[in-house]
Amino acid sequence: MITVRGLAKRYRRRRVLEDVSFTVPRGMLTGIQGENGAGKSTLLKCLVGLLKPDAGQIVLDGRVGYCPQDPSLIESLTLTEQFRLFGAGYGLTPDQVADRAGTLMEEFGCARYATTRVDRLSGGTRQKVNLIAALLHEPDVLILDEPYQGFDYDTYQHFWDYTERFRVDGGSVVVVSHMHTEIARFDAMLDLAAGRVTASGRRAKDVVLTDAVLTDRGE
Amino acid sequence: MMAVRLDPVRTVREARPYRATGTATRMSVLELLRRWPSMLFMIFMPASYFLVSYFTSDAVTMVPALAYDGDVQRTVQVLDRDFKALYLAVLGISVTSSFAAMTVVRPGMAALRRLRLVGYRAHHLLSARLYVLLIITVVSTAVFMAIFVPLVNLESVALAATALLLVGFVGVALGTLIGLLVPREFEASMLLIAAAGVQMALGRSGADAERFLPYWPGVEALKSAAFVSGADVTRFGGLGALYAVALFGLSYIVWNRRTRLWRR
Repeated sequence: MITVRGLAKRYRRRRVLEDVSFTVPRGMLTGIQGENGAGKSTLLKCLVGLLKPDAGQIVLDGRVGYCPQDPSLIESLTLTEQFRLFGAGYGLTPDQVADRAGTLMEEFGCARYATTRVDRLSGGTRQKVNLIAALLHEPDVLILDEPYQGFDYDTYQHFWDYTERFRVDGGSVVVVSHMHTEIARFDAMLDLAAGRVTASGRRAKDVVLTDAVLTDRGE
Repeated sequence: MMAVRLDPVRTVREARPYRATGTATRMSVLELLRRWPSMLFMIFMPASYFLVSYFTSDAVTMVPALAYDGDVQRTVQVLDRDFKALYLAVLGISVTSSFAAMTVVRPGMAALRRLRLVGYRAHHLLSARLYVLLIITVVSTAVFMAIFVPLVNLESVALAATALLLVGFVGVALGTLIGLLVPREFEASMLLIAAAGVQMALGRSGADAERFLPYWPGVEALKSAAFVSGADVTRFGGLGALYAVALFGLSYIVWNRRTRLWRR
């Protein structure tokens, strides 16, 4: 579960987030959309702890899996080595990492690159590795910043299948999305504009806290 | 301005990393091995400069050199070529080690911050890189000693090797700090070259200002080891170690700041 209250963040004089409040209950898939520079990535970085907000409160209940927008990986390591490095950070033994990484690489169609260095992969495959690194430890909360950039259609479908299973199993998911065709996939969509969020979608009421705004768009 | 309070994030306690330093070190070594051409070049470039300069110097000109034995400074007559060779060795080791450090600590900061998020602590990731730099320093010192020993008359080969290692450690510490502090690689490189080059120019001219530069303890320890029989280099060894520890301490502070997470 994710709860955000009164979150504010500014870069020098530019106010990016201003009094942002919402909640993402267990078993809910929530999207975040907004114009370029609206503060979507800033919001996600604040959620996971990469950026310190100027004000507000964030509660993340459970283990967090974070997938940044640009692949943040050690370029000269192979996929297997990369996952061993990330897995050890999560507290997984090499056997657990091998098991989990093997399953995920099969699911996202990159098992044949297991011994290939990341800097020799295509953009789409790097993005798969970027995503898998966030899923290795079977998190309870997924925070994904445009995770499917460069995916082929099959992998794109696998991604949404995975997310749906994750949601049904009780996980909370937040995905930054630019694609309006995807709106129907989300239980709720948070629109970020002028530093504030408004909620829409079939379960919009579930993500709204007292000081957030509810709109009827997309319902 | 809205009135909201900043509370720390609360999360369920995550699992402790599994053999964090060991795993991070193993992966850093693999990264290093895959960049072997760069490392080879870093050793080759100063080594070739040293050899060209040595073999184009004559073997008869003698110069007075000031060298310490403990706290006592002595003047000894040495071959100009040997004296020059010491400074070229310092230049080679310092450039190699500081550049290696800069290139090992600079890249992939976004990935390193993500690894912090995953569960690693700042010291896991920094010490993994420092172990790798230790390997580079020892290897580059061994390469230089292999070239140095047959060409230069040394009173103590073991002490000279120790002094060069000291230069290497100070170089690693300086390269780490500059690499973390200076945002662009070009400026960082220029600063590292300047530190080694100015040290060499001032040292050979006998200027007092040399003692304020980071490689000075290593240079003095090397001169004593090379030119004074049974020299006591404890003072300069200790001072050099102190410089290295101070620079590493500063580097850790900067590293911790650059990779920090606000919720941990």
